[in-house]
Amino acid sequence: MDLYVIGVVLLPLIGFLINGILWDKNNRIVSGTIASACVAGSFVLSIIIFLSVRAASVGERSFLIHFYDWIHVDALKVPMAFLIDPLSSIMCLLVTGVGLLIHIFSIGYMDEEKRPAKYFAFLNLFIFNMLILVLGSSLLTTFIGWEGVGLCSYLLIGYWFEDSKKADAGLKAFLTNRIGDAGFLVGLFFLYKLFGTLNYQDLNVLALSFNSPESLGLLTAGLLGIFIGVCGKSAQIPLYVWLPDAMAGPTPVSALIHAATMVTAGLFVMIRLSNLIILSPTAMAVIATVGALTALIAAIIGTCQWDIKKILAYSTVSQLGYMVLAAGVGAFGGSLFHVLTHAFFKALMFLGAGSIIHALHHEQDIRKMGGLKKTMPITAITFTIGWIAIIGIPPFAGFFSKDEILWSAWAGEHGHFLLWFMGWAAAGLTAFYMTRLMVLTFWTPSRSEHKAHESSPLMTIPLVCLAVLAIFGGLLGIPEVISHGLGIHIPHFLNEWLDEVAYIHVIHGKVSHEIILMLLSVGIAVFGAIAAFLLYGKHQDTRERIVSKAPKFFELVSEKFYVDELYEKMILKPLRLLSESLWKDVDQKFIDGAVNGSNTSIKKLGQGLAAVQNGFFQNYLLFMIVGLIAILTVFVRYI
Amino acid sequence: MDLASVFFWILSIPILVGAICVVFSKNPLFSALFLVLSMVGLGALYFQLGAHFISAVQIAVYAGAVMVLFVMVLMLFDRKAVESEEAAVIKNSQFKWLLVSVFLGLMLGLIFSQSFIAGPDTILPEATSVVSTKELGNLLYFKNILSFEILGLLLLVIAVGVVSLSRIEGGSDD
Amino acid sequence: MTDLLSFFQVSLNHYLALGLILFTLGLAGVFIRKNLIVILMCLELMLNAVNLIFVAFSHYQGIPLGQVYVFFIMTVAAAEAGVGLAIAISIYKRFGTIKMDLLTALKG
Repeated sequence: MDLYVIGVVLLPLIGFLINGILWDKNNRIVSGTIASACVAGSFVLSIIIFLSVRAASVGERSFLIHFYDWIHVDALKVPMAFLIDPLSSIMCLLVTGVGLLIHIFSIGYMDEEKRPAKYFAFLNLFIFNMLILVLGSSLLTTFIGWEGVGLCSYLLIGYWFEDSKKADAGLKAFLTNRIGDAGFLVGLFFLYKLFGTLNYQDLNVLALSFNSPESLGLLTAGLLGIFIGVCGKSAQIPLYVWLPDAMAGPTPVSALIHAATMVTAGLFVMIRLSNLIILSPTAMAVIATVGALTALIAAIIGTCQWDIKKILAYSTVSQLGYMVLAAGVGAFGGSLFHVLTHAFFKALMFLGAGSIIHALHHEQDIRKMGGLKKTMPITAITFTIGWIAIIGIPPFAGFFSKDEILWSAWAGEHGHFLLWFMGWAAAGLTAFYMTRLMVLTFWTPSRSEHKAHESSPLMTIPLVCLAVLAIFGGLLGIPEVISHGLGIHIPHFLNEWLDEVAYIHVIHGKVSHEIILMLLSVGIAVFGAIAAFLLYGKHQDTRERIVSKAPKFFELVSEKFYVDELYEKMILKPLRLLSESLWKDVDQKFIDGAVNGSNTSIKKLGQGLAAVQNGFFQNYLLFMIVGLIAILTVFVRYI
Repeated sequence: MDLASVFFWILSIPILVGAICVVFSKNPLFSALFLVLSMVGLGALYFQLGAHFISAVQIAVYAGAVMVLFVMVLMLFDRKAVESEEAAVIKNSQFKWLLVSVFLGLMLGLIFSQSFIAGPDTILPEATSVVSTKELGNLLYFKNILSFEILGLLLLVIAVGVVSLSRIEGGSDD
Repeated sequence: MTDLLSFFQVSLNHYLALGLILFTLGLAGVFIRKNLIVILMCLELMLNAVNLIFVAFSHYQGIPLGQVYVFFIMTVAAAEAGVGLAIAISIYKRFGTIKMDLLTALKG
């Protein structure tokens, strides 16, 4: 087991080092094969680990693999250790599995690339850091990976750094995440102050016996601090602004990092700390509200975007909002469920978008697409599967996970009608903008200047694999209502699997309510889809009439509620002014003045003293005599 | 007023006059000659103080050999480089004079304050204060032989050094 | 009158004062003269002044060792004169003058 775990983590690092050495070599196939082979090895080992965790008896599925004591100062003891348990093993599978598919896809996608080795090296480094993040046995070990994936995200968003806009997008992602990371660290300090440890296992044990209402405030503060970090990494309001800009990176990167894996790091940490979060109703309420608002607002913005990747990005933000909402209402199992299914169908859609963009010579505007159903059949079919999955039509993956979240938001003890309503409305909007995307991209006649063609098998095979996962991913957690209704007893696999490491609380409500809610969510999805189909298909004039009735509102939405502009005015501008005044007034005038002043005063003094050195040797003698006289004076006094 | 006093006062006149003229005469050659005068006077004073051998050395080596060296070196130079039409003395040296005066005042004050003055009663009889050449030789060659040898070595080094210094070619090398 | 007589009656102090005046004159000469050779002469004058003081102390304290020092000083003075004059010749060769107010190569 130890060896497997080391292998899982080290293989991507080895790939990174090999490609790092090949840095300036320009061979896509070699670099890509090395990188993919390393991740494939990692994936195989992850399967072995997963199976051995499964083989262990229930309740004994956590394995702590201790390497050495990283920090050992007084009471603070942070071991460098990995925690293998149901949660981390399944996350390992997700990261390496989806990562492998995206690596393979990248070999096909990056065929015009100047520096493929660099790209694959960064991808491998990302996988390495992500594995550290999910395997770390304490919050601090996780934080290493947390920062590492942030770095890789920055490097890969700004991968085409010749374009300064793309480099700026990388910087924006990095800096926005810094805000979150600061909150995360503060949260760590609070939790350490409260519990005296940062190890997940110890925290879970302490959480179960936590019953001091007076330190509940401290706990809430710590959890909210960590939630700020989650907001940064998982793109929640108010720190979501970096994710749409992060689409400046290569599309496979968007699929891997900004849809499937890295953005779920925040959810992972919340599930890890679920036993703590459940103790603080305030934190729960904040998390749920933020999640629901994010889901709704991002979905609204998504309806008015034209860039295919931006649509998918806002969709990602919206879906992440669902996951956070799930965590906020106590449905941590549902949260992880949605993490998994979303990883499948969103990676699928991003890769499909990548395939389209690649075929259309980097055209990303959906108004200039269309008619791709015939020219790119495999992409179209797999994309359609992803579409059905995301809008939540049974029995595809998205339906089950979204339904579990909405049901928890409705019937859970931390749930609320408004939360459910926001999630429900977001589901309708999701169906609307995704159908709009489908209609404009695939089903309407072509408006493209380029002749599209189907992508190479290197790109289509990962699409097919992900499509299969998007269809059957839902089987991980079939709700009891349905399995009972069908007369077959399939256990809710995910909830049982996570039961011993996270807070899992299965809600038993009225069966009729649950079925009605399911029908409602399917209904609004179908409604949204049909509306989009009609408005962007046959009845374009109706759409234009609607838009012309409230042009201000639609402009507001398509300009993303001017959030970026607001941040620019409220935060960045004062900050820039402050920095400028610090630079010009404090640094240049005061500090430089002091430095230069001491310099010039010494220089002046030297120049003054240099006059003494006038070269007349008698003058030098003079000083000798002055000294002699001084000594004599003292002498005379004491004799 | 004993004989010693008479000797002192008479000899101090050429000594001081010589010294003053060394400092102030424009022609370096005159300075050298006045220095000889001063040194001879000092040699006589040494004799009066019972240092017969030193007195002889003073006149023979100092006033003789060393001053001949000075005069010969002066002859080596271009007259114009050595003698100048303008003042031989650096102008604006009031501060230097002041310093020198302060120095003199301090030292005289030191001397005429009581401490290490031998009063008249401690003056030793004239006869016993004479140091014979034999006695001096004993002191030099037996008691202070190491210093003497080191001095000899120093002289050797200086002889070699002076030769090598004189052989340095002129001209600027910077 | 007795005061005046006792002033003329020589003692160690008289010799010391004479030596001191000689020394100061030498020092003043070193300070104010331009000619390097004359400066060397003034140095000799200072050394002579010191010699006088040594001999006077030796006489009045009855310690003949003082004369040994005088002997040493004379030797060193002769050597110093030799080196000094050789340097003067070198300077003359190099700069064409031995006037110290013109030799300011040490200027900082």
